Amino acid sequence: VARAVTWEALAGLAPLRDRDGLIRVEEVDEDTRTVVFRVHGRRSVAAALDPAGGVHFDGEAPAALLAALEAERPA
Amino acid sequence: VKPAPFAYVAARSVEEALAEVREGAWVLAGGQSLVPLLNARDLRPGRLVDINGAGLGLIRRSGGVLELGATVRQAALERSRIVREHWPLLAQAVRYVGHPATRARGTVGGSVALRDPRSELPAALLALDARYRLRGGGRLLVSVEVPPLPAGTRTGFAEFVRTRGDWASAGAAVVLAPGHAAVAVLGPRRVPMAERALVAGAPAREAAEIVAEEEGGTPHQRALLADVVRRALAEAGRA
Repeated sequence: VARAVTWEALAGLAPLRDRDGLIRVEEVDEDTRTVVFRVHGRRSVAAALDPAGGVHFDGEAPAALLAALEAERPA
Repeated sequence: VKPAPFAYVAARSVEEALAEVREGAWVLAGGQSLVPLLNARDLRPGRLVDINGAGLGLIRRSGGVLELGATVRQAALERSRIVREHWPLLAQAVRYVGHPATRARGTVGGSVALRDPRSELPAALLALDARYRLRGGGRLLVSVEVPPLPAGTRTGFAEFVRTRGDWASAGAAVVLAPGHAAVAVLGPRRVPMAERALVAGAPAREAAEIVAEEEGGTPHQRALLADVVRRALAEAGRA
């Protein structure tokens, strides 16, 4: 669980690069506040936003993605 | 064979793409159909406008409506959770498009914009009452919007191909819900007479015969079409 980000920050996260490749938003479900990231072109990770701004992943989130979300956390 | 010389422009936004898509220009998305045409010199565009960096690669659901950006890959459509859960017809149809390798690059927008009458996705989208968002006076397809399906909807897609991955000889997409039926065949064309019969409770065999009669063609073509419609209806739960 990553802490307290906004929906706009989660859904609008710019593509990231880590040493294994590209991580990018592939699908956005505004109705359930869920984003699916395509990770390195090989697997997908869904991230659901709860009402408190917590992000729940359905699989292993890459460190680069967690760091990017941490950077988006409101001060 | 190599393509004839052309100018290449990589658009970073829709506005940039619109500024570049003018007389003599073609839009490059996945390139799975366009590039072979260029290599064979069946097409000789003066300019290719690459829209892969224009921010049109997202699958989005909002207010129950599905929005598919023009450069959404066919493979992304195939693995999409939103699509699988809410618009399964698209997942059923896209599995028949090309091969896994071509679906990894091929795009929804490319399938639609090239308007090949044998394409699967335009037929599925027609059965789903999809709308196309165009910009620049129709020069650029930006996205495809698909309305929500009625509760209790079941869908099916079937086609006949001589060789796996080849273009289909016949194909049909169906959407069935209480009080609603949509039947689209490759072309794509809707078949309203069959839809009315299905709403009235016609069995699959009868509806398939209506489609074949409406579409016409040789006895072989009509038999193929009736067969794919029957199979699509069976997948949608209509015996």
